[in-house]
Order: sequence, then C-alpha cells, then structure tokens
Amino acid sequence: MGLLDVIDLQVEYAAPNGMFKAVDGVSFSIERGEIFGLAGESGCGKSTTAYAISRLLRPPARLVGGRIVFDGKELTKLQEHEFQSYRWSRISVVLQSAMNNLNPVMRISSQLADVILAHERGITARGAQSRAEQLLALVEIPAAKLSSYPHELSGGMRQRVVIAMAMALRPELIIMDEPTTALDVVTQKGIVNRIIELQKELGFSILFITHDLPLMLEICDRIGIMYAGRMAEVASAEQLLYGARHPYTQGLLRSFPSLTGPRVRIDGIPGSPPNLIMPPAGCRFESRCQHAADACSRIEPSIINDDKGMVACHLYGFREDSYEAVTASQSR
Amino acid sequence: MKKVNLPLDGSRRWNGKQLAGGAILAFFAAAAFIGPLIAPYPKNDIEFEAWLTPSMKHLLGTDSYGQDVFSQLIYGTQTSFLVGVIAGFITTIIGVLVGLTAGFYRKWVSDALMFIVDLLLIIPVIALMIILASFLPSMGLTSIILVIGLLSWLYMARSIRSQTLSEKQRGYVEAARVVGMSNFEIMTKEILPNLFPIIAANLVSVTTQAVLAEAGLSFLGIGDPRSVSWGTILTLAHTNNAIMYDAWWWIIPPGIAIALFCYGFVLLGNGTLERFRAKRGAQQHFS
Amino acid sequence: MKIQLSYVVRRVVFAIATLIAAIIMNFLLPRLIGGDPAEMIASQTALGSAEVAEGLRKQFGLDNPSLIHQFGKYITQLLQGNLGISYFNYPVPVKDVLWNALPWTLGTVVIATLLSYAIGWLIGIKGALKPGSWFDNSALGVSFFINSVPYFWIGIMLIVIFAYKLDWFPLGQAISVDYDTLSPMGKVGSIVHHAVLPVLSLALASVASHILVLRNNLIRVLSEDYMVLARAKGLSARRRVFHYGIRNAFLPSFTGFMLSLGHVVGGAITMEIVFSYPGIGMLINNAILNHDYPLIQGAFLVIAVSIIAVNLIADLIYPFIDPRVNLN
Repeated sequence: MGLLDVIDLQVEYAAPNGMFKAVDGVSFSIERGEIFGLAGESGCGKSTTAYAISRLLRPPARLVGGRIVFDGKELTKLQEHEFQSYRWSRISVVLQSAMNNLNPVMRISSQLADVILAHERGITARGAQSRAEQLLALVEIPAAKLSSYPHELSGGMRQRVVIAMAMALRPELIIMDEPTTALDVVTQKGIVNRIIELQKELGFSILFITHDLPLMLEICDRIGIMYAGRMAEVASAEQLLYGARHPYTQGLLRSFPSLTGPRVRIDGIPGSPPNLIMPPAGCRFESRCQHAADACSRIEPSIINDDKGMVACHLYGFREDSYEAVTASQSR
Repeated sequence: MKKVNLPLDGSRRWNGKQLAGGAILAFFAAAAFIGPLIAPYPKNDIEFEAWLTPSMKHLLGTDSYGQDVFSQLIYGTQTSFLVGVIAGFITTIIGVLVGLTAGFYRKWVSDALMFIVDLLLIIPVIALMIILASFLPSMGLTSIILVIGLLSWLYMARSIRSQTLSEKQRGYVEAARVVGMSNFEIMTKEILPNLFPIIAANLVSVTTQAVLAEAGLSFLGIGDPRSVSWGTILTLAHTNNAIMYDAWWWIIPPGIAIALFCYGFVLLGNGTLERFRAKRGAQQHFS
Repeated sequence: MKIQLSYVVRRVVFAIATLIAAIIMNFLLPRLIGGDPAEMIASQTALGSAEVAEGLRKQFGLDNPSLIHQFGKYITQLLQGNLGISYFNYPVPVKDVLWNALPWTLGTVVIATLLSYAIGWLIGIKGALKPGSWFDNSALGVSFFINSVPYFWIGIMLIVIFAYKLDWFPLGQAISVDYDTLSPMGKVGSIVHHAVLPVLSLALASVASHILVLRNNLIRVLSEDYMVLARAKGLSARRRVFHYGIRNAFLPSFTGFMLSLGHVVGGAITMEIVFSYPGIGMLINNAILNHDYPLIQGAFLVIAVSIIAVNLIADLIYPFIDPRVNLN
C-alpha cells in the first residue's frame, strides 16, 4: 500500500449539453518519496483527477465514485471538517496557470504566513513571518521580496513563491498541476531542478501533472498516461521510454522531438478524442489507433497488471468474459 | 476563418429570456403604432370631469385636466418608444464607431479617443443635457432624441473598445491580415460580426437609458410640452398633486409602463449575452 | 504605501483638463446652439432696468461680438468668483444662490451614496456566495426593476406610502415651517426627519447597480485560481471570503464609483424636485422654468467641479486599496 491509492475514481461533469464523466475509473498509487507523473492531452481528465484528490472539485464537477486512500485513511469518507487536517499540512497543491495563484492584493509575506497561522496553534504572527522568510530562502528568493505584492515579481519568482508555500507545512504529498507551463524554458528548468533538489532533501511525494512528456520522463519515477478520462498505461519512466506498450503512449512519444537522440520524423496522432457525452462502447482510442481491430470498437480493453506496469489495450490480452458476453449478444 | 457566434446553430434559436423580452417589446410596439387607432379618446381631449376614478368608461380614470389617463398612456407609448429606439440607435452607431476605432488602432488614435471619452464621462451627462436642452431655441421631439442620442454613447464606446481589444487577440484577425485584408475590411467583416452580442446587449441598455432620460428631462421641465410621453404624464401628475387626490391611477400606470418596457429590453439583452457566453464557454470549457 | 509622484501628477493634470473642458463647454454650448446671451439678458424684465442689463453685458463682454473677447471676460469674471446675477432671484448673485443650496444637495448625496454602497455590497455579497438561491434571485429581480424605473418615480412612490398613507415623514421640504422657533436639538431633528425620505429614495435608486456590480465581480473572483488555492490551503471560509474574495471583488466597484457619481447627481436633481428639497436640483428646476440662464450655467459648473473633485480624491485614494495601480 502506497502513500496514496486512487481506486476506480469517477468524476462527473454537468455540461450545457449533457452529463459526462471527465474521469472514468482511474486507478493508480503513489509511494512515499516518489515522483509520479500524470500525462495526457488537454481534456483527458488529469487536472480533474488532481482536483478530486485535493477535494477542490466544484460544480459542475462532482465526485461520483471510487476511493482515495491516503496513508491508510479513506479520504472520500471524510467530512469536510475532518479533511481540514489534511489540507495543506499533509497534501498541498501548486495549480496550473502560474500567474493567478497568488492573491493580487496581499503581500507575499501575508500569503505565506496565513497558511501557517491557519494550521498551527500557538504560533505568533512574528513567528509565522520568520518561517515565511525561511521558506523563501528554500526557493532562493531574497527575504527583501517578502513585502512585495505579486505583480512586483516576475512570473518565475511568483511560481517559486507558490512552490515555497506548498512546502510551508512539510506535507507528505504535493500535487503540481502544470507548475511551470506559463514560464519560459530557462526559468522552467531552474524551477524544476530546485523542485527535484528539495524533494530529495525533504522526501515528500509529488504528483506531477503536465503535457510536457520529455520533462516528465526526465524527472518522474513512474508515469500514468491518461486518455479520454481513462488510464491507458502506467509504467516506470524507463519502461515508457524504451518500451511503451499502449499505442497512444507510443504516439505521444513520437510527437516530441528528442534533443539528444537521432533525428526522427515527428508525427502527432491524427484525429481527436471521442465525445465523452456519448463515449464509444469499446476502447476510447480505437478511432485513432493504428492497431485497431474489429473487437476494439465493441469491447472495452481489459486492464493488464504485470511486472512492466499497467496497460489497458487488447494487444496485450483479451478479457475473456467480456469477449464472450459480446459474442453471445451478437449471436442472439 | 470567420467565426461568427450568432444564431443559426441548429439548436434553439432563442432562449426563454429573449422570448419573454421580445414578447414584452412586441406588445409595446403594437401599443405604440396600432394603439392610437384604437385608443378610446382623442389625444389631449379634455372634455371629461377631472379626477374621475377608474371605471369602464375610463379604464384608468381621468386626470386634473379631465383627460382620459388610459388614452394618454397609449399616446405616450409612441413617444417613449420612438425616443428609446431612435436615440438608442444613434447612441449605438456612435458608440460602435468610436469603440471599434479606438480598440482597433493603437497608439495615439486610441489614446486620444479614450481621453475624450474619459473626459466626457466625468462631466455628468444629465447636466450637459440640461444645458443643451435649456438653451436650444425650441424643444421638440427631434431635439430630445438628438440630445439624448448624442450624449449617451460614452459607456458603450468603452465596452465596445475593450471587446475589440480582446477580439484582436484571437487568431482570426491575424489570419485575415495574412491573407491581405485591409484594416477597414478586417474591422467591418471580421471583428464587427463577432461584436454583435456585445452590441446587442449595449443597444438594449442604451435604449433603456434613453427612455429613462426622456422621462427625467420631462420631469425637469425640459421636454416638449406639447407631446405626450410616459415621462410627461408622470410630471403632470406630480405638479398637479395627484398624490393628494389619491389619484394612484395617474401615478402608478406610467411608472409600471416604463418599468415593464425597460424590463423587456433588459431581458432581451441578458438573454442574448447569456447565450453568447454559453456558446463561447462551451468552446473553451475544458482545457 | 508609496504612491508614485508621476501617478499623482497624471491624475491632477487630468482633473484640470476635465475642468477646463467643462468650463469651455459651459461657455460655448449656449452660444453654439443659437442662444444669444446678450439677447437673453436684455429680454429679462426681472432685471428691472435697461441700465442694469447694459452693465451686465459690459461685465461679461457681450457688447463685443468676438467670442475670444467674451471668453476672456468670462474667465476673468469666473476667477473672481462672479457667475453673474440670477434673474429670478435678482439681485442676488448666482454664486450666493448656489452656495445656499449646495449643503442640502451635498448632505443628501453623500449620505445616500454611503448608504447605498453599504446596503448594495451586503446584498451583493450574500447573493454571490449562493448564486441562484431565492435570496440572490429576488435581489436580482428587485435590482432590475429599480434600474428600469425613473428615479423620481421611486421617490413619488415612497412619498405615497411613507408620507401620505402612513404619515411617518413629511411630504417634502427640508425643514418644518416652525423651524425658527425650535430648540437646537429640535432643529437637528427637523432636518433629519425631512431628510429621511429623500436620502432613502436616492439610496434605493442607486443601490441596484451596486448590488449587481459587487455580485458579479465576487462571483468572477470566487472562481479565480487564488481562491481555489486559498481553499486548498485550508484557510477558514471567513478569511477566504473577506481577505481573498471581497478585497478583490470590490476594487472594480470602487472605480465604478466615479462613473456612478454622475448618475447619482442626476438622480438627486429629480429627487429634489419630487421632495421640494431646496438643493441644487430644485434650483435647476426653477431656473429652467424661469429661463434663468446664468443660474443654469452656474449650477452646471458647480456640479462639474464637485464631481471632478470627488473623482480626483477617489483616484488618489485608489493606489492605497489596489497595489497594482501604480504600475500602469
């Protein structure tokens, strides 16, 4: 049992033209001290998964099924006030769109201090202030910036502040949703390196979400690839790089240029994800898959767990019962 | 490359708010143009006894001059309707012209136009209207419409400008430039159609404002004394102490008429905007 | 808090520019649209004698048809505080007539504005925290209704209900007829008693836009990333709503303040007529009815100057509330 086990997670959205499941039966687990990556195209449900774990879903999104077990405790069964002791002190988040994470009308110092004051009893404002100073030092920002407002800092600095904030209460898990997307490549590199150093030093786990697969392969221990609300494949970074099994993962890997490797033709994956309001009966990737066979459009791929990780694809084994069920219904 | 978000999307063409608003306005349009033909008594007919309470003969009683209030209300509909629609239209044309130009051209054109707008925004429009209206040699319906129409476009210019600025960020403007369209063509053929929902919403609010402004000016004694509008009916009711005579039929109906008329426009405008947002929202709901 | 000097200078320059524009308009508009001030002065029998009229014409340079000459005289007189003589109140100078009326208008407008902001914000916040609730929906409905009726109609309805039917408050005027015989406390009481309905109707008339603006801003702010992060941080609902939500939501309504001021003044003018309240609005009404042109122009100038001044103050306060403002 890992630090975090997500089992059969289901999140439903109410869209203007119907209900659909943005996350539909996603499972994975994260070990202590591990960096787990979650990748996929936009709209595949990776951010929604992060929001569900950190209990930040808001209407029209709703958790409708599955379990989230953190350190042996089932979070999904907790009342909001019970979950309060997990918020930030055990699970913290760094959200997408770096620029809007900070309250524009509050000084950096107050925004760092208020999370400390909210969770730690008996700490003085002065104490919280000096803690804020130490936190900024962690991400290599001079203490002089404490009294700045967010707009007075560069985008990279702002995101460093948010990362420092995420570590304020020494959480066991930090969920990072596209933490560096809005930044330029050089700044990105610096921040990612610092995150890795701090992770090694402090030992927290990271759920790292991005569509930047090369970055993910570089920093993550294990990676989950999501497609259209489902988990397509979970494997170690090494396994993915040298032996990705799901056709979608293979396609994703081909659509990024390699900086060091030999020159290869880059091809994206033609087509677009299915409409989730009326999802296809079989494999959701079927319409874009090079290896699609007749059964793929009718039968959901079974989930195969083995020593190489997890993959959901007919190429690696049929689920007998469902196959029989379908053939039976057809012969009728 | 064109991305027009107006009707014809196959689904429902009108939402509930738009329908309700449209129905209210259709009712008033009918009252304005067919009403005078079927009004019970001629305009400004003073042959009745004063202060009659409502009855079958006088649905809304009579006023202190012995005029049938119901008939006056119907004649007033035409004036208020004309002022609202024509003044609203003038305002919209100026507002779109200034807003689009200021939003499209950067640098000094934008700066200069916006400086003028900000300047005028601070000087209260009502005070300007008073000055203009009281110095104009005679105050007919035309002058009222012009005064209101020419002075109310400031907010609208601002909102059109900011929408133009954000439309400019979208890809289709760049694309139009690449295929060699002139600035004028881009403005009129590419950006303008995308501004329609915002323009519609603004049109609605300036029309409402025009009707209210007419009532306000009449109340200040600047209106056309010979014409009948909802505003002049209320003004007369007030100056003739309708309150003291308990003549609620003279005070409440014109107020309700104005409120309902404006509410029709508000519904139409909000409905249009909501539909626009819902559609834009649907395009970018999940990223 | 540091305010950049350049910001202050920019705002002051803008205020002065606005003032100059207002003065030029005030001078030019009547002349442009065909009203000949000299003719108007001469035609006023209230002025008593031809000599008086002649004196005034000389004073304002109307004996010389050159607009530039007239403008020079106009400015000179203006700088000396001379706005001319009110025809209707002859021989009282316009300046004195306005000066006596100003406190009544200022008092009611200021109190009504504060009141409507306070009420509008409270209702707007409550609505935004539960959008779509019955409270929110009825607040929206009432706001749209208020925005759809003329200000003065609201005043008339309040008179009908609270003054005429219930007889809680006087029908109009600013003080009671026996005001001079009252004790100091009685005088204050009389003023307050008379001011309740005018202030209330003015506040009611402008509360709708405050509700709408704050509600919509707060709803928008509540979905910002920093609000989501504040929730993830486990901050109390109270801290999230006040320090993260409302602090950000009320900024645009503060800038809206300058835009709404014109509306409030417009409302105040008609409201005073409804209540026969002896402020600037009542003066304007009388001036229009009696073709008292100097008074109309004077009133315009007073309104313009007050609004420009209030705006400047608001502009200078703004950097203290929104730290980002110095940047642009």
